[in-house]
Parts: sequence; C-alpha cells; structure tokens
Amino acid sequence: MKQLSVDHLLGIKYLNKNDIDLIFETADHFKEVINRPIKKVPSLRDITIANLFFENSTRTKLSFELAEKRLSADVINFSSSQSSVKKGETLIDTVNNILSMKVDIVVMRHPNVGAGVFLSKHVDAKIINAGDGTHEHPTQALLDSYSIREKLGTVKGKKILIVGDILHSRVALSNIFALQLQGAKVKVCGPTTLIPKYISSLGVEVETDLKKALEWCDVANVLRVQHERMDVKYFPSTREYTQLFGINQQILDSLNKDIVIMHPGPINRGVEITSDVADSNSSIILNQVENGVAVRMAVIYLLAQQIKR
Amino acid sequence: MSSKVLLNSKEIEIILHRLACQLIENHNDFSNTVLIGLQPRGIYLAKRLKDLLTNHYHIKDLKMGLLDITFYRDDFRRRDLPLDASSTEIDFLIENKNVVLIDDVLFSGRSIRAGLSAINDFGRPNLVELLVLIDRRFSRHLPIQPNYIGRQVDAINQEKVKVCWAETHNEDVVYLEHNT
Amino acid sequence: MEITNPKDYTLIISTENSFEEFYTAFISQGLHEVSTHKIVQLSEKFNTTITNLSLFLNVSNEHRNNSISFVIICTGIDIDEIPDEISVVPSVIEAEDVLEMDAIERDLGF
Repeated sequence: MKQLSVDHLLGIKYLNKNDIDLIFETADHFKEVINRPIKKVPSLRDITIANLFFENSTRTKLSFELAEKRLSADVINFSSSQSSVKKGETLIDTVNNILSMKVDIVVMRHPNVGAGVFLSKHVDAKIINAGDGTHEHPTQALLDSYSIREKLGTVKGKKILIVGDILHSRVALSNIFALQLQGAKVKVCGPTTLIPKYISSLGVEVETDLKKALEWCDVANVLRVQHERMDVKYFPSTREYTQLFGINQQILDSLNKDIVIMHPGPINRGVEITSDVADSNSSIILNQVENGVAVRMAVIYLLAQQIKR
Repeated sequence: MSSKVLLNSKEIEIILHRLACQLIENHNDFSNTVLIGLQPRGIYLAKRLKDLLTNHYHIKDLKMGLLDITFYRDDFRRRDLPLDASSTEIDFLIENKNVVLIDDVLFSGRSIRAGLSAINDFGRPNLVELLVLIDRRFSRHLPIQPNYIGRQVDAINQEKVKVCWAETHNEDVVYLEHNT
Repeated sequence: MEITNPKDYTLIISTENSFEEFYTAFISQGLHEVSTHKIVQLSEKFNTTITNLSLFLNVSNEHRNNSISFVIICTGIDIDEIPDEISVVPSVIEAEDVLEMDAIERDLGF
C-alpha cells in the first residue's frame, strides 16, 4: 500500500501501522535529500502551503517551513498571539481568507483540542495538525519513533519511558499511540498530579520511582517542564521536581546499562535534564531535530500526492 | 500477449563488450568520469558495465552511483497510482566530472530529463552522456538522444520492450512483447 | 428576552433596554442553571462592559464543569480584557462554530 489511509494528518489515533511504515520509508529518501549539496526536490513546485500558528512555536514552525521549502512548495505564514484568538472566533474567517488564495495544505497549531478536526470539516484543504491544545502532536511522535528506529533498528518490542508532565503533554499522548501501534512497551514517570487518570486505560503503566523506571527502559523521552504549571496546584517547586525527576549523569551512570535519551525541545537545562546528559553520546536530541525535517517532508509529500490536478 | 526474443544472452554479452570499448575510447582510464545508473532498472546495466570495465578491461577505481528520479518526475499527482521511490546512492562528487547516465530502455525521454535535473542538484558536471541498452527510436516526447546504444528498435506503441537480467531472472534476455 | 431553540442549543436574544434589566430577567428565569447548550446574544445598545460580562463568570464555569457549552455574543469589547473562562464571540455563526468545536473536544475525550 503506497498511499496513506487518511486524507489529513490530524492525529496518530487515525493512522494504522502501514501508514507509519510508509511515512518512515518516504522519510528515509528525504533524509538522503537533505544531505545533498542542493537540499531540494522540485516535486511540490505547484503546491501552496499555509502555516497557521495560533500558539507560539519557533522550532516546530521552522521545521515545517524548512520541510516545505525543501519540497519546493510555496509557503505563506500566519501567526497570531494568544490574545487575539479565542476559540473558533476567527479561525474559520482566517482560513477562508487564506483558502481564497488557493492554498492546498494547511499546517496548523491551535490551542483548542480538535481544532484540526473542526477545520477539516469546513475547509477544502489537506490539514496537518502541528499541535492542538493538550491533545495530539502527530509529527513529533512520528519523528520520535523514526529516531528510535534509526538508533535501535526498530521500535517493536522496545521499552520506552516518557518522563515528565504527562497530563498536559500532547507529545506524550501522540507518542503513546504511535509506540503502541508499532509494538513497543510504554511506561510513564512523573509527579502523580501530572499523570492523567485515564493512563491505565491506554495500556500504559506508571512508575513513580525514576531510577526503577530508567532501569526498565531502553529509551527515555524526557518532556519539558512547563514553568506555567509549576504552581502549588500541580507541584511544589522546580527544585523538587529536579530532585525527584531530573535526569543527570549520576543517575545514568548508576544504571547497569546504556539507555537512549530523547527530548522534544526546547530543553530547560538543569531542570528536567542536565547539559552533560543532553550533549552526551546517549542523547539523540539533535538527530530528532534533523529527522523532524525529513519526517515532515514525508508527511507533506504523501498528502500532496493525493491532491489531483 | 505474444513475446519474441529481441536479444539473447550471447548477443547481450557481445553488446556489453562493445559498449565498454566505446566508453573506454572516449573516457580512457575514467579518472574524470563516473557512471550513474538510473533507478529502478538502469542499475543492473550500470553494475554489469562497471564489473566488465573493472575486471575485464582493468579500469582502476571506477566510480558508479545509483540515482532515483521519483521526486523529479513530471507526472507527480498526474497518475492514478502513487509513486514508489528507490534509493539514491551517490557518494562521490559530480562537480566537473564527466557523467555517463545509464538506463535500460530509452522511450519518451522523460526519465532522462528527470535524471538530468536530479544530477544538477548534486553539482555541475563537465558533460553528461547517455548510454542505453535499447533505443526505441521513434518514441521520443522530448529532444533527447543517446550517445551509446546497445540496439536500436523501431517498436510501435502497443509493443513493450522487456529487459531481463540474470540477477533477477534466469538469464539475460530482451523480449519484445506485443499485446494482442 | 427572546428564547428559541434553532438547532440543538438554546438561543437567548436580549430585547431589554439595559444590560442590568436583561441580567435580572436571565437569572429570574433560571437560565443560569445548567441544562442545554446556550448562546446568549447581548444587544449592541447595551454598551456592555467587562464588569457586566464578569457577572457570567460563574455561569460559564458551571456549564463547562458539566461539559455544556455557554457562549456570549457581544461586540465592542476589547478581547484582551475578557477573562479566559468566558467564551465571547462577535456573531451567531462564530458562536455555532464554538459549539461545534466544544462537541469535537468532548468526542476526543477532553
């Protein structure tokens, strides 16, 4: 099957295993392209892509923009600060204005859960979800799995630990879906107040002791601690978080094996992870960034393929 | 569907030797020349020629690469079937080199056009030549001609030239298939 | 006050002469209680202020806690001043969009 089974990329939950394999095979080709002298292919020369970022994001936006330009697509950007966009208020209007400029694909990050789903019902373009509230961030999960596959050969049967604020993390949720689809085992570790109650219904175990969790896993995906959440409701203080859940070189040395360290970025050095770990040989954080462009090129290419002239 | 043998293994072997000699006449010791096989089917011919030139004609250090043109094709989104890419492996520089592009059958010329675009993204070659096993002479859609030809065939549109290599089939044979 | 049920929600359109009159009628008719999804349309001549809108804060929270939508249509107000907990939009179409987005959010388990 050389086509995606979906018309949009709204979440990992809508994909099947074949889709993931196809995305990875296609990303392999694009990884070779981005290592050439001229890092472009002309395939999407007549496609226009709009990046709608209703939430701040430098890294994801840059990664998508790079991917789009490497495919030779025309790119238009629209960003909006939090205050001028409330719920569905300007969403339809903005998108219809853009679509009247003949846009084929929309890459959108929006603070509302399901914003992508909503858009796909109202506009005539391919939608790629770049993050919708606390729901999903599918391309991040895809590049994470792709990076694991690159480092360990496969994702199947591997033990993946996600550490941090699971409750508010769309990266965590998308990763859980993706890893389980590929036959990996997933555990989470973090403060109990930051672990959602529904986690066990997803088939994911909780381990509150960091050392035990690290002993178990092959890969640790360390999530960013969001300072906004560091209030009394969720967690006493950043320092206490770091003491209980921070990844440093000592704790890694105390394990009886080497594990792979990942982080979606941006890193709070010294909080959830120390600099020496982030910059060490166990870390594939920079590979994640490079792979992000290749994986996003693959997703965009495969969706564009469905757009008939 | 009826098929007729256009070239048998003996004839193919003779042709490969002739092509190798023609290449040597123009490129000497290949110190400034590289071979590039077009995916998916030109790669077998390219490998054969490389083996022949290296083992039989003692060319040293002959560089050969594989080029996939899927992302340069002009029929992206115009076909019903999705495209299936193969790999590109070019681990040497193209800049200022003589490139011999190799494919099994030259038909409309569109694959070669895509190949030329792709090559240019790897650098600026000194010159590019085209080597094909079979040239379907009157089937061109673009002004593209080969420099080295195994056999010229005046096939009509309903006929298909099928090249089989010993690596994937039992032996080297070229068939002309006709849909009845 | 006009109350209708155009689709699967209750539309409350203010016909009173002032915000205070409308709000009093709203409460006395028990419309602040959680039942159906609601869209409240405030008349433009009210010159509604943030203080006025803040009166709906509890109503809005109660509805949200029970997974019911509550949206206010109001123009002439600075968006940045409105508390995040109150959903305010400029027209009926956008209000219906909000209802749809809330429904999608609930479908996704949030």
